[in-house]
Amino acid sequence: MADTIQQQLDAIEQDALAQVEQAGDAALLEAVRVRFLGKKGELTAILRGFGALSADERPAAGKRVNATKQRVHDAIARREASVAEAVRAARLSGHQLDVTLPSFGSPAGHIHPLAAMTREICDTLGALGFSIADGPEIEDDYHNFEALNIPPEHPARDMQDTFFIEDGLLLRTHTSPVQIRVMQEVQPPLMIIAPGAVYRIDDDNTHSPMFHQVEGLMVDEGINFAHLKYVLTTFLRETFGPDSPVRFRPSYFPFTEPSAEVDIGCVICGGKGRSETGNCRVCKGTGWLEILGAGMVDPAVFEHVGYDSERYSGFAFGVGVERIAMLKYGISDIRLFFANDQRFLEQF
Amino acid sequence: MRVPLGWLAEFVSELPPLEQLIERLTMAGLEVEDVEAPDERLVTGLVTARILEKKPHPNADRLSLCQVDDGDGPRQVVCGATNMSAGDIVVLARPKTVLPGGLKIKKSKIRGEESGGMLCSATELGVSDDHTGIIVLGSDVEAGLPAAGLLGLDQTVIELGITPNRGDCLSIRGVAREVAALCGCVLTSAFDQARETPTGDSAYAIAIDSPDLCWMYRGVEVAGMEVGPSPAWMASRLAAAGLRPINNVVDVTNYILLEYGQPLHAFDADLLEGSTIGVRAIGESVSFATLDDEDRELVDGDLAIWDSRGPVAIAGVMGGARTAVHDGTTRIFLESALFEPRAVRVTSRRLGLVSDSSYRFERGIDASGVQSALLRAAELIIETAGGKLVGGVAAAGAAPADRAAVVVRTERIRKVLGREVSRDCASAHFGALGGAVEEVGVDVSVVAPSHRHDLVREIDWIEEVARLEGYDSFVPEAPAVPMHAAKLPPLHAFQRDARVRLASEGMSEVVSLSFCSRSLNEHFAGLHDHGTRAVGVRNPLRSDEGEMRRSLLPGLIAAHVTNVHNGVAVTDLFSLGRTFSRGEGKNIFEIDAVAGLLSGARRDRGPGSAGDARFWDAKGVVERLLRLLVGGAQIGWRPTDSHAAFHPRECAEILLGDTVVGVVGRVHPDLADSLGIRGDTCVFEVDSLLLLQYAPPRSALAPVPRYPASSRDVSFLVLHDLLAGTVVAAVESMNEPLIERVAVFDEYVGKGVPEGHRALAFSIVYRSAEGTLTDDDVAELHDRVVERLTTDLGIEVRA
Ligand SMILES: [Zn+2]
Repeated sequence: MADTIQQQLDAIEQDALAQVEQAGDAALLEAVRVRFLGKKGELTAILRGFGALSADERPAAGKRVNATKQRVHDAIARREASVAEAVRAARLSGHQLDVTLPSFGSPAGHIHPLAAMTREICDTLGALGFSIADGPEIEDDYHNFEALNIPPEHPARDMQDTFFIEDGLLLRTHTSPVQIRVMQEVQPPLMIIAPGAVYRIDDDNTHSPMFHQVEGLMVDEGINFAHLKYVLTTFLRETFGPDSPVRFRPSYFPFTEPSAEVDIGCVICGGKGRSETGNCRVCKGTGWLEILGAGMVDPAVFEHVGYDSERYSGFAFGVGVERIAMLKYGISDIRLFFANDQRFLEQF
Repeated sequence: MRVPLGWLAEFVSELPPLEQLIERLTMAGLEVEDVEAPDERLVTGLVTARILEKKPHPNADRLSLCQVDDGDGPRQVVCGATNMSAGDIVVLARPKTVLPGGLKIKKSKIRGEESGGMLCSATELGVSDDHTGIIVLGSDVEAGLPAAGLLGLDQTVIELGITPNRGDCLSIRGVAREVAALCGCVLTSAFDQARETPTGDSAYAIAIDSPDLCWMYRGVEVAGMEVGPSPAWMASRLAAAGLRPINNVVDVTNYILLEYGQPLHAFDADLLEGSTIGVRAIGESVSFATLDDEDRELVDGDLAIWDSRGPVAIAGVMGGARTAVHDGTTRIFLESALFEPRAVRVTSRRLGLVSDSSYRFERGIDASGVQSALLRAAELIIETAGGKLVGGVAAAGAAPADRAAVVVRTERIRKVLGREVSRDCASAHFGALGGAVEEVGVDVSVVAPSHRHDLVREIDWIEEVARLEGYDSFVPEAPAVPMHAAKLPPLHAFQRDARVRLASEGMSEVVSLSFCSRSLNEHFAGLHDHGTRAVGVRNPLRSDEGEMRRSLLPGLIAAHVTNVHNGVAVTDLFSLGRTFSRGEGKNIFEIDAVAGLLSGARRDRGPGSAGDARFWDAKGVVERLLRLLVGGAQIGWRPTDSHAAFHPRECAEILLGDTVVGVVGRVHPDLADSLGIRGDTCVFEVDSLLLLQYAPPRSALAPVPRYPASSRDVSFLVLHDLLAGTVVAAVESMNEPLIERVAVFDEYVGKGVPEGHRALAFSIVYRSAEGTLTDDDVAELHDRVVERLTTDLGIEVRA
């Protein structure tokens, strides 16, 4: 009897080990385990045949069944490990991914250099304490000229050749009218900048009929010319480098007095005024570049907005965004900003 | 203002060295814009030559062959100009001369003919921009003389940029005065040379009928002169200063204009009718021929000079043709006057005629020089053209009264400039500028000299203190202000973020001029109300820039077209800027818009799934842009066919609540064709301020769910025109607290879906904040929702 069981056990074991070898993945192995070792498995079923054995045969037979079960179990475990190893190896095999193929999704677009430059200027002045203010681009004569001490038929109007629209309105020739609008609303102290588009009848490679300015204004008690020089020198050195030479020379704007033209050392020739081929073309040999206009607010302007010019003083300045961008990026034709050629834009 | 240094030196003794002079002037507000040193190669290379013979070039129609005598005998020159003839004196550049443009003259053969030099034009020599031909000098000039001097090319000339407030520096004497004050030089005796006023009566009477427009008028008669070329020294100075020599009478008036800054006019006295010179405004409009042979219309209020027959000059602007000096003039009436600056400007601007006279009158001239300039001119005319004064000075009007004294407070100087400047120091500066100074305690009282119209107020004098002290002498000082944070207005914060976001969508920012053509404005009405009109520009630079843009889209499309033309494959673009319209009366609307354009194959759908731009691409960009301010669920999308620029069936208005904040859609196919862009081009435009205004305030933080959600899908068969959004809105309107979210996940048209219908599949997410929903709870709720939708919307569930 015991021999019969042994024969059966041997047959089942052989079969089980063969199937373990054939099982190529975890699921098949599990099926093999259930078939042979499960509650209803073949090796469990064989125990039921023990009824035919004598009492002294049973313990030995039981041991043999358990030993067989153990060997099948071990075989499954080994096979599981090798299958898992094969799976892992398969996951890591394959070709080197071509990481140089193009990415999915759109390549990043570009922010226009004038917007980027305006932001840089406003950020620098913002860090110095100037808040941004806005005003209309279509202005009236009063805000654009008269309140800025440029009465009708004043020769200073020649400095700003104006686009007119109906009803005596015009396209603002500078962002200075924002000064007036703010001062009409708010009492000092005041530190504002007004960025935006402005318009003048002018069209060549350094002038565009539309261009951009950032106008600044600081008003309080005790603000003086030395403060103007400090703020603008700081601004220019933040923008063009800490060693930039800066100079102030007298000029004329109807809305400021004293007025100043502010120059920086020529960024092209390093302030020498000369290049290898003769005079530097950019600074015309002077070694200096006109970069902004400024001045102490004229008392007549304060009068227009109802500020007491004996009590308050202040300074104003105007920066040309295109001008600074052209110098910083080495752009020689202003029209490139408005041609919107992607091959230009994508360089920013 | 061109200032030949030799001329300047006549009035200033010991001019500082050139470098120093330039520095001093520039740093005192008289910017030296250019310096022209004499070009030695021109000085030696240019000679006068007489044309002996001129005949056509045998081998070239446009060239002629000239035999010229340059003092060393005849030589042959090939020339391309036609304005000369035998006997003329011209300017010859001999071989080896290098012209200002860099051209080196060589002995050569031109089309087979020998050419021993070049006959020069004013442009080629950099003298003026006269393109009309070669220079022809007066016929009395001898051949073989160095020509550079005659053309003013042998002098150093500095070019000053004179600001509008400094009319007093628009003359050699004015600049001399300034240089003396700035450099501490002494003015020469020539500066102050007094001239005797001729005695006797003038044959002419002056009648000023418009005393508010003409303050002062003086005139003298000179008779017996002979009009001819000016002497070389004068012609040379005029040329160096940038004026073309004409004849000795006209040249003297120009010479004095440059020397004194006092405009003069010479009438041919034999052509003047009557003996009364009237100065009065025009009443009825009249056509008037000016001496440049143009007919110009004078209108009511223009000031004119009259003889008994009619107007003979536009006061301060230009003389008339009828009484102009000509070759045969022998008797002149010479005018020197003081006209009201604004009136001169109004007339000159209206006529578009800016003359050397009007330019100076506008900026204010020196009343004290009116008569002395006149007498100096008469003297020079007699010196160069002969003749003599007849009678005395005809006069009317008087110089305006002296200006009031201005008190300049030393304390105020300190307050404005930020540092102490002593009273004595200020007085010294004011004195140097010609002010009459008086000390008043610690302050200074000063009366401005007659030539300085810009020194009226205390602040004007304080500027002079700063100027003469030198701007460099004021040490920068940080202002003491309380610490504060600068404010970035919400609009600017949004615009900054928008740029970053749109650029990260792969779009590039463009900036276009705000001008637009009428026809594009008609197509692209933008976000402005339908009742508004476009804003017209009265004086546009180009005919297609006659209006202000109503929309950013034409600019975007133009930029797109440019790039496609340049072969740039896909150009998704965006733009931020103002758009304009006008309502009733002076009401102007400006919108801060942000717009975008998508065109061509999409690259962002992964391999194998590229496709043309579609409405939903643009919608997605808008959603992600608006997400800066509002959640996606808060944006409404309403189909519309009322925007002419858009495809009537592929366009939506973007809503926040009931407010339309923008529009998105495909460009109308007809418009796409006419603009030459692809039919798949989709665009959007949003009003940034409306967006900021209607963006709902941030809601309170919702708790993060603790219990799991269950999701159920349902597919409906709907008529084609029923919007998915309508179904979503119907679900939302049930206000069922257990419904967390409803979303469309598929649209299907095709097999199994009846004609005129489409299948829309929705996913509804259920969740309770109280506990986990059982399958039965969810099933019961979902059935109820589906039931409601089928009855309310008349749609059926697709099996
Ligand atoms: Zn330079």
